Amino acid sequence: MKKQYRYIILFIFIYAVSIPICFAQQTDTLPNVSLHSKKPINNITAQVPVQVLQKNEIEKIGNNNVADAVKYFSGVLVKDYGGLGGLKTVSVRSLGAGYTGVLYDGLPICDAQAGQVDLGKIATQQLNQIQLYSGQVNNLLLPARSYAYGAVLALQSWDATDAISKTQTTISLQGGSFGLINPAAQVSFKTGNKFTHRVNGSYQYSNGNYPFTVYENAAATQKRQNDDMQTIRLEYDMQYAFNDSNTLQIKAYHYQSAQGLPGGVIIYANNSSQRLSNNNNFLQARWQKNIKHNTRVLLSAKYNYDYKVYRDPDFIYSTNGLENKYRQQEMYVSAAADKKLFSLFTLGLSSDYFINSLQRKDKVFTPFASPVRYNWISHAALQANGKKIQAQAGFLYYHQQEKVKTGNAAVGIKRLNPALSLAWQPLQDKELSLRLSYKSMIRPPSFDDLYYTLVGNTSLKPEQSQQWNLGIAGKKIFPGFVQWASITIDVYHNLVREKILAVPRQNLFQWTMLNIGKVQAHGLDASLLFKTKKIHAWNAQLRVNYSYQKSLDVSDNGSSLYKTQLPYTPVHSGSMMWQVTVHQLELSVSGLFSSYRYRLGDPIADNLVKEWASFEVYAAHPFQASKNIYCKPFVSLNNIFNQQYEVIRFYPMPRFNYRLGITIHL
Amino acid sequence: MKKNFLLFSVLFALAFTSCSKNETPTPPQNEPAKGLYVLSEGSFGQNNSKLGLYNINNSQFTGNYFVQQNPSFPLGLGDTGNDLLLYGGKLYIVMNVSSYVMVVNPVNGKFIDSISFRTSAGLPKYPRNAAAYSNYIFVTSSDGTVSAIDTLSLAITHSIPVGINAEGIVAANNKLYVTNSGPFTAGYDSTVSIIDPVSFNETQRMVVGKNPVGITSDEAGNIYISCQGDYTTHGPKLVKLNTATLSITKIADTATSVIKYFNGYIYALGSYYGSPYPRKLSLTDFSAMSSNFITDGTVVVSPYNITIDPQSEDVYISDAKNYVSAGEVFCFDKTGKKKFSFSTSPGVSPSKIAFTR
Repeated sequence: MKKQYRYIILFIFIYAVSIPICFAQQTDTLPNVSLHSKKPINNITAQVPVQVLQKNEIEKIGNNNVADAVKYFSGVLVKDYGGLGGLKTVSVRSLGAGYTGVLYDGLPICDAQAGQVDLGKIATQQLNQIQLYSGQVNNLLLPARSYAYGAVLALQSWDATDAISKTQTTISLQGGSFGLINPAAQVSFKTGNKFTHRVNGSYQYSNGNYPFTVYENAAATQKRQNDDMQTIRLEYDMQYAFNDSNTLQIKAYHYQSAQGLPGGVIIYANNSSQRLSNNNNFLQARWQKNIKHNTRVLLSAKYNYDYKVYRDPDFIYSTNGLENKYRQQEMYVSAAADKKLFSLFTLGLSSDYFINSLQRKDKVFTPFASPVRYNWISHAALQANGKKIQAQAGFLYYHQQEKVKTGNAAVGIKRLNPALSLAWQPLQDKELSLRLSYKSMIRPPSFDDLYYTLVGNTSLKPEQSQQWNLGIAGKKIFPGFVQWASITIDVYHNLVREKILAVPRQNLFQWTMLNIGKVQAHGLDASLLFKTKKIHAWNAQLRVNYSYQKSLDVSDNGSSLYKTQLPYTPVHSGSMMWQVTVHQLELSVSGLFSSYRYRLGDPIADNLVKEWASFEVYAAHPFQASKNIYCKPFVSLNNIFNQQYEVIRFYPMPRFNYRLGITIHL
Repeated sequence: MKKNFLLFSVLFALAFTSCSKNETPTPPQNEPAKGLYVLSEGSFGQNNSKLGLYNINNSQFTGNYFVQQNPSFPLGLGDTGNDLLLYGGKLYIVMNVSSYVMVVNPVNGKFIDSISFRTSAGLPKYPRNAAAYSNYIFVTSSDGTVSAIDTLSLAITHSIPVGINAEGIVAANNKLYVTNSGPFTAGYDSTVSIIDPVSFNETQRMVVGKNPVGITSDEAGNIYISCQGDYTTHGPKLVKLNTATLSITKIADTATSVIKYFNGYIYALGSYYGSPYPRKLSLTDFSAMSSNFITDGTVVVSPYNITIDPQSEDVYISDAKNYVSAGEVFCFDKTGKKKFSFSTSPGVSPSKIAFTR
């Protein structure tokens, strides 16, 4: 307890010190660069692999959610349970979904209960950019928690530095297969010189009853049941610019969904009536100020409220059905600063304090722990920016303490984790770069891991991971048809120890969580990008990604699973995206493929999940309807070869489907 | 020894005479087993239950015997095979999540019939365990009913309401005893339902202990019930019930899950609490004869079920290993020394075993 207070005091001290500094300073010459810079990240000289999707690419792929978009990144495994409402989690390089941090407009989104974020629930319509860092984020001016993940997915919904002179309104309407209807609207405006606002919202509904091939009888088709989903999303963003180098950003987010949970197909007895509703709200503020020409300070705060209701009206084991209600809250404060030292170095310091709590609000027979988690994460790093060599060394201190109402609280965590990265450009023109990085990280057990009734285990330790990456990146400008090309190849080795796994005891209805797993992954991610010369108004770009991944279960050398590939992990996977513009017409053909996988550890025919490939086509033709009205009708055809495939066994994916829509800018 | 053979012969003769004339006679139990049917539960939601057949003569195991013998069922049995019962020349496979009972000819593994388990509203009943009595198979279901299947028509003729989450079932003293576990009822259920197999009614419900699951009977008309407790204030218990007087004659604080009575002992596996080893318990005070039934150092990673061949007195222990890859079945002699073992691949989480003779 005493220690707890000491950290709070220390944290307040950081604030107390940083605030007067902010006020004391005036001038600035440092550019206001953040993680969400509009300028594309230079992924040639990056010290860790960075992949980026811009708005014009995001809108051409997938079905309006982040999970569909990130399938196009290499080294990424999206577990997709199918349909609009199906769970979609992202793991990078076999680290497990709990290692993927998601930053939404600069601050982490967290689900302390599940320990992973369902990216199917985040819409892409309002996003400008998605970035994936397969390792440590290089930017030093971020909340400390941004460095506490194995990989970071940074979502940027707006950039207030967009100079808007007058009110801008965008309205869009989409419809498509399986009863999809999706209206959205956005208004950006200024009040006075310093205030910029943006309001945006969307509604989405799909009945989700897509047809799939019946498992028991390949000649028959059945429709997915209880797969409907309805969502409402509202966002308000505000930026107050005191001046160019002193800005306050506030964001309010509301998301509400109601959906069916169709579950996996159970042969001979397919039945489903479970429902889930989510209500997620957060309010966040970020204040960034540049001090003198060499110091920047970022103060952030966030409050998150999450309410989840799970219902099974046909739950046969009790007379009144089953209802679970969970309330999750997070209070978050963060202070970060970076400072240029001499001309070569940048020092970054950040410290976050946040509290997570979980309460169960339904009638429970067994007392619920109602855990409250106190986290203190601090990060310090030094970056050297030489002409030919860039290097960074950093440490992250993770401190976690928990309190519960009943039962035992989880064991506290105190860990120091280092990260190192290095890039070297051997050639004069900086168009070839070699990179090397190392990162060690922990994943604290989630509330579900710790306190789930009878299953949870409060003596769990955090998982530990180590990541090594060695890569080469280059780009070249050509005189011929191919205007320029870039290539990145990274090889990696990841090790996860003390992996938390659910293990049944005595029968399949009694499970417990244990730190018994160990995973050794090595692989290769390659990316090629070609841009061709404009010929007769044709402008084309081709991106090809390929991933090789060997992820071996090395938990127990006495087990038959020793050194077998992890379930659902394809050895080969990849994506391609071909984008063409001809005059006004925008065309895109993109595709994803995955080699076969096994649903369970044993590499036997019975566990085989077949390889699949899925292609989509997008076409849009923007035009000026009148002086102030700009329209962009589009059509998006998904799974054009009408393939029946599965990402997860017995969760059939939709076959051919389409979307039609129009976006109007006023 | 001889006495026991005699006893079994008598018991089986009794069971035999109670069968209807039209039933294929069950071979007497005193012939040595020729084969073992092994039901592997599979993993929940993976539709990968397997019925395998082990040939004792040539030590061959056919892991996916049901599909091999029934090409019209390429996907096999479905999800979570919970119980296996050989009775009256038919093999009954209780499929929990797929919610039906599969009836198979034990001679060749061929499909005979499948019996759907649905509530009046069409919802799955999730059948759990089966016991035979006279011309009927009685099957417990999680919706709190026991269904009686006529072994001739293979139709459900009666549905008898019992407690919520009916689990184990055993025939003793001309009645059927059903454990009502009720884990989703406030404070758990703690009763055993007694069913009259002639009138197809629940005649009585007795309190035995919190969360009763495993149940077994002896020749003297006693039943033994493994109570799991509520995992907080009420600990696990092993309870002995005299079916003649309907009184509890013994209670011990022993954590068990699967319990099988054989020849004056109870063979037991641990539960959420309790021993990780299979144990042989004394009937006098339920104490373990030794901490581990296995005496030759053989390691069974996750003991999942115990089946005893009354003819050879061999003890078969199903090992679920890590519950996600192929399991193993071990055969031990009565002194706990390993005789043989085989992998149940592709069967995951092997549990129930039935003998063909």
